[in-house]
Amino acid sequence: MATPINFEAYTPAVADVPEARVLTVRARLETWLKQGWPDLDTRPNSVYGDLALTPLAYQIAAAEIAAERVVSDLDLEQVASGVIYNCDVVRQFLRNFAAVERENLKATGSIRLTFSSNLQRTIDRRTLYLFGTTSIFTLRLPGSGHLEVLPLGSVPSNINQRVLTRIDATRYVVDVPVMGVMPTAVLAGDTATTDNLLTGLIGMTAIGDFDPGTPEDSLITLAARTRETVYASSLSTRGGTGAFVRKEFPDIISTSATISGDREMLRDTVNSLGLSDGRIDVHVKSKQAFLSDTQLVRLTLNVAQDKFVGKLALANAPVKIDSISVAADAAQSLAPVIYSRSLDPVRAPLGTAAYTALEELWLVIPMPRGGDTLPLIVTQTDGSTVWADFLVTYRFDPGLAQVGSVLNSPEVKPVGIDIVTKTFVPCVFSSLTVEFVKPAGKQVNVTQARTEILEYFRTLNYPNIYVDSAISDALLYAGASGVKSVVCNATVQWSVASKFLPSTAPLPSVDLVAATAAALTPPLVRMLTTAQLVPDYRDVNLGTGNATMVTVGKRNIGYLLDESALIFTEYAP
Amino acid sequence: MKGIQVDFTGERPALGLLSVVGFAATVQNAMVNLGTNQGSDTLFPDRGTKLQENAIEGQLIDINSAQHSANFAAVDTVAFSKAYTPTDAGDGLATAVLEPADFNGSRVTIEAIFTSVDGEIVGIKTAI
Repeated sequence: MATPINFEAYTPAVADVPEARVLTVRARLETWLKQGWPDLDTRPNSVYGDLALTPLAYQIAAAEIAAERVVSDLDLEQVASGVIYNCDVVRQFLRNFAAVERENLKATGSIRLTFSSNLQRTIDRRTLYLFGTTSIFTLRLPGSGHLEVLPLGSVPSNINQRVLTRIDATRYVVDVPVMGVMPTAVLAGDTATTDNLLTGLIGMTAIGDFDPGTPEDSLITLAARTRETVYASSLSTRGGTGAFVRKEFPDIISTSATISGDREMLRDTVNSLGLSDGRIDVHVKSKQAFLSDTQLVRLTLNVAQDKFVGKLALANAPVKIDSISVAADAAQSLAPVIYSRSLDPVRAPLGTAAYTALEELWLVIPMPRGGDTLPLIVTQTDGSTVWADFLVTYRFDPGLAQVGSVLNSPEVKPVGIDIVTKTFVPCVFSSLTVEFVKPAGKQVNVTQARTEILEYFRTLNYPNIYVDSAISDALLYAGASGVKSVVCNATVQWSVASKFLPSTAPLPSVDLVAATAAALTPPLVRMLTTAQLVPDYRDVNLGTGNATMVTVGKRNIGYLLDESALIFTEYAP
Repeated sequence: MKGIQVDFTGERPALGLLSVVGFAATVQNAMVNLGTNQGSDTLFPDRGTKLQENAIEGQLIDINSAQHSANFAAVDTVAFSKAYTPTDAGDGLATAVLEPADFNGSRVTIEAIFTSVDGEIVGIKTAI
């Protein structure tokens, strides 16, 4: 049944009808009336003119405005920009595009399943996870079938398989995306219960705050996404890829696709016919970027080289390593080196695998020795190998794994196009110093400015680029009379690793000496002025043996500014 | 032109039962315009005159000032009438002459003579 339209929702008040419009309508009515009543006095001051025609002109002008507003509610561009006159009509209209305003549906998040044993398990995809008494979630799997959890060290062969990661001596975890209904908020650290309690499952915890899936201005966002869906819903184009990701993953706040031919794309190749292969790098950032996690990593001691070596198998692809310490002695200083190696050099060689699921990380830590050359790390042994446990604290984006698994699922992946999902290449600030001018006798709300600037960099991604005015605006709104200078010290972090291993190099666990010798060091790109914060760098060693295949530009740059790196100094004239 | 009659003979103007046609309709509109305060109609800002307003504000201190105000009212009325009457209409208002005939300090009697484009003359005596 059609939604009844109440014209009151659309009709303006009499005082709000513009006089110019009423005069135009009145003149049109006079002309129209002359056809039937050529002698009728419709002039101002006449009885009919003042008491009938003029009020009628107001009514018709208001009705025309109301009709325009009805049409506006059917114009998705207007709705997407926030102009809505009747929510019921808009809601009904959007249903034509199968776009439904979601109230409590499709909340999304990630759950960390913790196990006490390193065993293979199958989790029924219909398993329910309950937070509190009302928030119910199910697994969000990219493929059909159940979720298979594989033991540590396994290689997944199916899109629904996940490999356990050890986080400490007795616990193994796997992070799985879920979606469901969330009447009450699910926050980071909340524990869940399940109707499918597997043997060895000792914990189910929310990673990060769950996304409600419904933005505050639901109809407006829905209309915007509907337009994107209608006009561009193909994963084979830059715009279509972005539209698809935003539609499917409401918790993704930034997405940018680089395609073959872009300066930020180094994975593209040319086949024997001279045609470029279809390659797309999808950069994403979610609302919860970046969550922090600490994980125990066991490294084996290479006695000959006196170094601990091991795969840095973290539960999630790291964006930044905050600290590496000895599990039994956090105060012991270390000199770790991380190596990056591509799991698929054909698809993503060297630096192009950074920040993706195709990047394998290896951690090498020289054994620290005291002045008396005694080792400073207590090791353990089982008779054949010697090892020590280390704690690695790192940051990650939970959205990366979710988006990557869906975009590469058989039902979604476009034919003939290779898609790799990655986070944005972080520009890590050592410091950002803002010198502002404080007006005499006034306070400057530095806390407010700090919050705004941190949020600005947190959400700054293509198509937006860095501008100095954003810093100035934040300080002006905080009460400063101006910004004297903005000085930055930032570095492009090509990977959490400092070295890249070519595909021909042996694994560090097999031949550390050869691996170290073959490792390539990426160039240092430092930004010391704010003008450099929109970088444009492409590996100058491309085509040579020293190429690390790193590139950064406006489409794939992200920013990582910690609160401690943002410094304000006051200039009092 | 053909319109609905306004009866000015009573204490207050009222709708009549007859119709007015031709120049009589034009004169009736002009009378309405004379008594309308200029600026009171947001749709037609030029409609009306300042005659009543001047009287209420006490600007009509003698017959000369009343004549002065009446002249302006006549000009405004003719201009407004012409703006909304087809130029080829023979029953359109060509001129209006307002003459204070009597003034006693609190009341002024005005004789109004309206002339149509065709030369028809209608005279009315009214009091403000």
